[in-house]
Amino acid sequence: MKKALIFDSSTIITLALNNMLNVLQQLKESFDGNFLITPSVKKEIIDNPLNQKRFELEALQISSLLQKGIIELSAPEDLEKETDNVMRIGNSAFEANNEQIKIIHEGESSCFALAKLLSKDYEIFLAIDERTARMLSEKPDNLRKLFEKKLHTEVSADGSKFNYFEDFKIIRSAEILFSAYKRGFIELPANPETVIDALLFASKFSGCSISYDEIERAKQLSGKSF
Amino acid sequence: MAISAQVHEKDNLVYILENAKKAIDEKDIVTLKDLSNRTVHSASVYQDTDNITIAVIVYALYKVLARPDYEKYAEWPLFIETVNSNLSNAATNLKKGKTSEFRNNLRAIREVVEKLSGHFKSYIEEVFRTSLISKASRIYEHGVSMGQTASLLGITLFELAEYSGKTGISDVDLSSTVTIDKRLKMAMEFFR
Repeated sequence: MKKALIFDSSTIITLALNNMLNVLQQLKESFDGNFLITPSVKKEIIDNPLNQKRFELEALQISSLLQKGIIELSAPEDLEKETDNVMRIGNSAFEANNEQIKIIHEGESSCFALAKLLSKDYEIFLAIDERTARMLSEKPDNLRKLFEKKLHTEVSADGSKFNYFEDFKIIRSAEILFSAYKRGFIELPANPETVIDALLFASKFSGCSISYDEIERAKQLSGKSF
Repeated sequence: MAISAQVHEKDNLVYILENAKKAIDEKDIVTLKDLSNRTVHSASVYQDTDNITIAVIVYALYKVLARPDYEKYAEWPLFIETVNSNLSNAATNLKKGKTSEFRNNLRAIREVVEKLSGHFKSYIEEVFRTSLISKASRIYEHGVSMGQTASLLGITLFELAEYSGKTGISDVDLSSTVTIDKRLKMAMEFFR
């Protein structure tokens, strides 16, 4: 089955802020699969920042990847409808003070929606750096506990809503950079532990939700064969 | 928002506005910061623009007052007088249920920045922008996604990612889901 990696905005932003978008080209050329984004994600990482001088360069660099076909825009017929469905489910999963908490937006929702729509034809992975969407899929009860801790109030969860988000395979820019390094696409004058330390901290400081402990563990694994 | 929650929120906002004005008069920056934080919990749940606007304004005022040389600017008296009178009127109008007038007061605080000039204008604009991003980061920290938060506050995801990356959000124990061993293995196999 063909592979596809669907990118949320957060992962491409981390790579762009660290001038590491080039690893996507090298990875794309080295494996049989597609890098996909949805129209909502394109809006967040190209169209919107093009109007802001501070991030215009990053937006143009991402746009170049799209023009070269390294990342591809995917918009199947039912994507909008399915995205609305994801938002409806996700944004009614948690409740505090008799109020449903809106937790996910169109961009993140469209990634889950596209993954569902393409799952018959592709082996799908999601690339998500931001924390909430990842927690919603992988450990939604932790998200409820986080809300309770931060809001200092009881938060209820409708567990039936979690079913939709189960079984997605999610990686982050940290794992993408680790893989690129292990495959020889990143050459830096230091030992593997130092390079992994540098790459993963760069991703962390640009918004990738990875902890200090995870980076320490990744450094220990930097010499391991997978 | 449920009616009981609306009443509670209205009381909360009136409290914040009245005490923010008092804190400005007394140059009490610690209270200003606390008041701003207090709005973040409500903003995360209700995601209404009033809560968010007040959180940003109060935090921006805290940042301005925390800088010792703000009073040297010639336009400072006009700026702070406009802010004070609108905070006071906003609280009064909200108590009376005059929502439209209340929002006009909040808008007037933002608009007074446009009437400033030179370095002071640039400085205040920058403080408001940074406050917006800082409050966004706090809402993201509460569990609302980056996309939803950025949309709510009208900032780009780039700004939010850059700012939140320098906070400790990712190091909260509850953020831990799948082990990095498993995630690295998945990624390495995917790209094989």
